[in-house]
Amino acid sequence: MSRWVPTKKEKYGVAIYNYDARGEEELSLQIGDTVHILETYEDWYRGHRLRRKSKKGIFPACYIHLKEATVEGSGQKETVIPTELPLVQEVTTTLREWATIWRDLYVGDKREMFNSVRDMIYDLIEWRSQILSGTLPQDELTELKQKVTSKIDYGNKYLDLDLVVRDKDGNILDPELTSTISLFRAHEAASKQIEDRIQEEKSQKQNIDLTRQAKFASTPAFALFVTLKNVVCKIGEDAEVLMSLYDPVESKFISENYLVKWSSSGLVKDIDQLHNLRAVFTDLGSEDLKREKISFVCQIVRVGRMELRDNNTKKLTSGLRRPFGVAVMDVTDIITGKMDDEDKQHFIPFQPGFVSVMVFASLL
Amino acid sequence: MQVVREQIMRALTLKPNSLDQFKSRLQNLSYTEILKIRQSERMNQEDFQSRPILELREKIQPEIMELIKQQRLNRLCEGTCFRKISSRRRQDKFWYCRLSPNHKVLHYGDLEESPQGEVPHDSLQDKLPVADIKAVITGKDCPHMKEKGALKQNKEVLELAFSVLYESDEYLNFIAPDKHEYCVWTDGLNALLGKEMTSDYTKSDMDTLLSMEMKLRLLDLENIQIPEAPPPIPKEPSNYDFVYDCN
Repeated sequence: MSRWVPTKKEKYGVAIYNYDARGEEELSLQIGDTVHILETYEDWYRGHRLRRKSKKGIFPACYIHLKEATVEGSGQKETVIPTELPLVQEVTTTLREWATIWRDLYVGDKREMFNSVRDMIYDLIEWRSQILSGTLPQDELTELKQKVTSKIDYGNKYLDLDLVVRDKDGNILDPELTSTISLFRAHEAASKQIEDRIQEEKSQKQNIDLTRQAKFASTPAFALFVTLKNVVCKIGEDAEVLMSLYDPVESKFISENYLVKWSSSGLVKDIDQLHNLRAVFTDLGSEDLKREKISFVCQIVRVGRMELRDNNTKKLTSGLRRPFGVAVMDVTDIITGKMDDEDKQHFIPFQPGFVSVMVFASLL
Repeated sequence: MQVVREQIMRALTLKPNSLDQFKSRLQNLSYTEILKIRQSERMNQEDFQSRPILELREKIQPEIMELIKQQRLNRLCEGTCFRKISSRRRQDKFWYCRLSPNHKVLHYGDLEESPQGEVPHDSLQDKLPVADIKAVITGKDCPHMKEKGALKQNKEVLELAFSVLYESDEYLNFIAPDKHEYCVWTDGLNALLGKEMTSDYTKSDMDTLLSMEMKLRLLDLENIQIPEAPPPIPKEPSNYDFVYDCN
């Protein structure tokens, strides 16, 4: 062999010893590093570490234990995917993701979470080893897989990471091959299962009042239903009423606006909607329930002249949107379920101006 | 099959003198027993201390120490409420000390009572630049432990006492609320002075973090034999005309 040739089968391996580069062309390796091998010559390989692709270099072939992998793409765009059980692969990536968060928990001195995550990581490492050992009988292996997937899902929820949607055997559902409704159902079921486990663990640690959590345990997302009854307002021109949810602590809006066009005659512009002004603020997640305060904000925008008292017909302006007033109501108790919100009407006075709004709000 | 092989191998390593002895050893090494042995070996994988693993530990240690230092300094920036040093029975006066976010100044001041939330910056009037700190003194060497009084005899207090020496002969004297805070503060102050963090707490944190880091680094070496000696390095390749030449 007189020149470097691209490898065909020797594509992926793990370093079994530490290797310190002795020249610019060489690549330093630490024991346990996984490598993608691109080409070979004499007793050397050339490639890069899987977790630092930018630096390519040569290293002795005898420092690498080859592993099976599937290759996607070719040439410079080639990528390798280790041929492992999908579950083992998932555990490995999960462990690496959790470990990064675990270190941050340590630096942030979140001791309780730090210890919980450490225990979860150790469990996963041990179970991964058991799966890889190949010594478990089929029934034990199936049981272990179940334990692994539920631990991953529980840990992801605990760390506020994305929920992995699976089938009943614990395999990750392929969104390309699964209908939206099936995905939603599976997501809902998984979410409920995990939520129940978290509640169970919490109540074991301290026997606290779980009524509020129980109310929301089965629901991954919440919605606030609002009906606008009336805008008692002397504007003298058309107006737009914009309703939205706002976090006063973070000083930011947390929903889109619900817009109602109000006419100068004091009625809704589209008369067909007279008793049908309803909006649902959807997708309020558990993060929103944790917010210290949530306000319901109504903004009124006057649509018409620049100055309301402008009667000079020569320079009469029209169609300009001018802020007129705002009304705010604290809806924290409604959203967190502390207040019984069934069929309650709320009267919200406006600042400034002689305006007030009547709304009816209820958590779905 | 693997388990059976392992049962035989393990029974033979115990050097049985007779076939009966060999059989009884085999019976003791049941399937569940083999799994238990494997599990304990896996959990202590890095304790086998083969040379490359020891080298890796050495390499990782400074990174972990940096992480511990970061954690300690973060805790100092949050600050701690200390009891005022008094020989009287009732010790109900408090003072608070915290490190500035840029790690340049220690802010401290008196408090009427133990704080519930965060202590506002403007309530800590006194400050001590970190650059002025000469040394951190602990235990019985602290000036407030040498004074006559009830404190001197109290062994528990002695273990929680530390002082900061600044300027020529000025001291800022502390008695930590507990062992944990004592370790955090002595470590943090030593880190600020560029000295080693030597508390028990640092040792246990180092063990916890290093052990985890090692396990994660060696994940892909599961069921792979690690050589005792480094494999021989082949002679350099005769050319460097790579197929994929761009780095």
